[in-house]
Amino acid sequence: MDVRAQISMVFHLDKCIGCHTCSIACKNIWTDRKGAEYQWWNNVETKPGTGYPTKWEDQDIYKGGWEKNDKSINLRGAGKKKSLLNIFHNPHLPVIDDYYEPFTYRYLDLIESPAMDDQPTARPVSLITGKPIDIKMGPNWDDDLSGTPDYARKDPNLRDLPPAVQEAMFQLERMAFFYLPRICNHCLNPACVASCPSGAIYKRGEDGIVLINQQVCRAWRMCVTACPYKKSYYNWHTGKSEKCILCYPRLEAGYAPACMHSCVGRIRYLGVLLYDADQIETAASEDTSKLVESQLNMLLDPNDPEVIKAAKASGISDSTIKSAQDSPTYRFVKEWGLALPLHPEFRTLPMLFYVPPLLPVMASLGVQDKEQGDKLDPIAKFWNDDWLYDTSTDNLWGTIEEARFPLKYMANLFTAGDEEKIKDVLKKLMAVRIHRRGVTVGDIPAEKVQKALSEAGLNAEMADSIYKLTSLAKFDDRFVIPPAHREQAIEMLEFTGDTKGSTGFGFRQKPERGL
Amino acid sequence: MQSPKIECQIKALHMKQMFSIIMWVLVVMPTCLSQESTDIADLFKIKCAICHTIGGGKLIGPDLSGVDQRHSRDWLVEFVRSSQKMINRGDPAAVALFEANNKIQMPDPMISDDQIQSILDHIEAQSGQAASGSEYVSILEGASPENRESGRRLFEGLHSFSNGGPSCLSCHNDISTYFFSENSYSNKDIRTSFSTLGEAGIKAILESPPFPVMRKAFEGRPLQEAEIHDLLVFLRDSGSANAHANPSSGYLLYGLGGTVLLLFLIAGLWIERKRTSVNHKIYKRQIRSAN
Ligand code: SF4
Ligand code: SF4
Repeated sequence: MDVRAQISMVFHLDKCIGCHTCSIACKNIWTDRKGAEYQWWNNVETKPGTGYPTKWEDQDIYKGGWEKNDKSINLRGAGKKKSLLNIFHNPHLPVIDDYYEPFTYRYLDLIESPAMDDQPTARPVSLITGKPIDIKMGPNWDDDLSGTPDYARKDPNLRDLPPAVQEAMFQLERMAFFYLPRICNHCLNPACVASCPSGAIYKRGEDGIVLINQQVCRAWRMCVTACPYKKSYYNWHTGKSEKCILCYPRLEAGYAPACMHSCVGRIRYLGVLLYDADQIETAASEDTSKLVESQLNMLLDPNDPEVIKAAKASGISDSTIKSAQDSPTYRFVKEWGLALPLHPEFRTLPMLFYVPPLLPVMASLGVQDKEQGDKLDPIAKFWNDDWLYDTSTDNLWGTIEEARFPLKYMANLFTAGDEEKIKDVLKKLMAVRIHRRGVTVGDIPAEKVQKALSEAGLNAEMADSIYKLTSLAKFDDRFVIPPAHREQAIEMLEFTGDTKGSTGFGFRQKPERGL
Repeated sequence: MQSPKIECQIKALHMKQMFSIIMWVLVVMPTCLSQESTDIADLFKIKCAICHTIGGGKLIGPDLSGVDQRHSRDWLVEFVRSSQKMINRGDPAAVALFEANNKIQMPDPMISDDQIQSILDHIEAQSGQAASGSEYVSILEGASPENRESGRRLFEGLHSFSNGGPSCLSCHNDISTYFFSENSYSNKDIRTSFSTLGEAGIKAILESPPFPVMRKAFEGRPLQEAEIHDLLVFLRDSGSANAHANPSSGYLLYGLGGTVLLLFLIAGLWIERKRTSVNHKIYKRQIRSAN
């Protein structure tokens, strides 16, 4: 057992309100620079939708992630042989139009315009060429299902849904969507690291954050192709690739990453997970159906004396082990089994987990009046009297299976197509709601609550702590950041007495382009 | 004991004296010497006689006898100083001369205007007299194929010159294998040199190279007579054989063929590439509807 520590994240999708505050917080702090304008280390997508860059999930186009072979796995679009063959032309690299051409407006035109009959306009200009452009796309062009025919209907996750089901998803009265905020997953088996010919990308030993060394990067851009989540971006100005750094300077100082700190819906959780690094290869090479299970099996119980012993042997400090024991992510992912990795079939073992959205499954749709319905235009909203929120029917789980969002769609996102697994999680979420409704409103009989809980594999106590961590969690409950012990790290490298009391700012070394 | 300061001053004095002596040696002495009229004939020999005769007929450059009647003295001085400048400037007489003499540029002799004047005086004085050179007699009679082969080896550097001079191929086209010759690091294409300059001209160049770079290259390591002989045989035979071969046509064809081949290879290798942006269709439709 080779125990290592990983700072992992959980995003609770039921809570995301799609405000994009997280994206803006990240942009302001890290990517508001020339060459980085189009980089959204954090972005929020509407689902169904094609996301950013468009159709990033479709690996037939982008060739990201790993592919299973007989015994182990290969990078789909990169790796030694392919990189060498494509050394002068990387054939699956996204182009700027797959993202969007970043733009600003000539605001000065508004101020300097002479008096006219019409009000002046500020023309949009490209942030790449500086020339006026017609804006064609933005980082969340398909927000809230806008442009559905172009975007939502082309969602790669709809691929194995029957056409009738797809059609149903987009009917006006059934229309539903949810938000999917994304950052780099700081994977355990990162395709970006594996693909880099310069060895510029590395996973930090102490907390598993994946970083690109700007001094070593030689602009091969293999990571841009290899990352199936398209979370490594190429900066055309500096000639280096960049990616989410999980705000490691903030983490080292004990602050939560900017996106998490600013999250309005408080959907984000961060904490240490201990895992067994010996299992990485086998877990990533499992059959698709067992991928989620094998990934979760790698995560170790931080309270197990054996694990603690092994962790200490690997040099993990006591304070980190303590954070792992208090970690909210461990509870969501392992203890309660509520959070799932996004697209486990990419086999990078992502360390960002999502609590899937329950969506309004508590509404059951009544039988429609056929005769009346036929008189209406097909696109008209169709109401009838049976339509109500029914939370106390006998057929509790029926509503989950007939949810407004087909289970298959959710399964394509979070469990590599396994509907049972996603149903388990949704059942748990539902059971917690039923339990809390029983407690607060009291209109659900106790045995029904009990039945719901036990069928979901929960008990009242667990349901209450899930409820607490979901709805009432304070800042320190959501973010349990292990002390970085920078003092020790610095002392390993230099004698602190030399610089004690001296201050200053500026570049220590300016990154240079090319060789 | 002297103070260091005084010592310094004394040293400075020595330096000044030394400097003026050196300057005198460098500048004043040569001028005095060159004024000696007896040396003019030698100067003519060193600087001019390789390519020119006075009344002995054309070598590489024209016979200089009566040159002062053909051009004005001022024009001649300027031409000798730097013919290249005049040609570049488009002086009609200079260009005509250049054209008439196989477009071989006369190297700048690097001598003072006074020296040029004296040489011109010397030519004028000699012009009336009998021919300074006698008829050139070919030395290539009875040359064997072995001589030709040895000439080729010398030319291509397979055999070093006995005095250590660089092989011809360092600067000139390989005239026996003309295939990629357009692309070689050649200085002057000498495939047709033999026919244009003649045996006498080439022999003169090889014996005492007039061109600055070539002169420098063979300074202190002249070619042996036998070597010159073999080289002449080689130049005569292979030069005439390949004089009219067109090296660029084959090169171009191969180049074109190679390009097409490469393009196919590239197209094949990246046949599965991502050809357009995923948003291409959307943009196309948007632009169409905007119009
Ligand atoms: S999400 Fe992409 S960039 Fe981030 S660690 Fe995984 S493979 Fe690398
Ligand atoms: S800030 Fe939070 S609630 Fe808002 S979009 Fe981002 S993740 Fe969702």
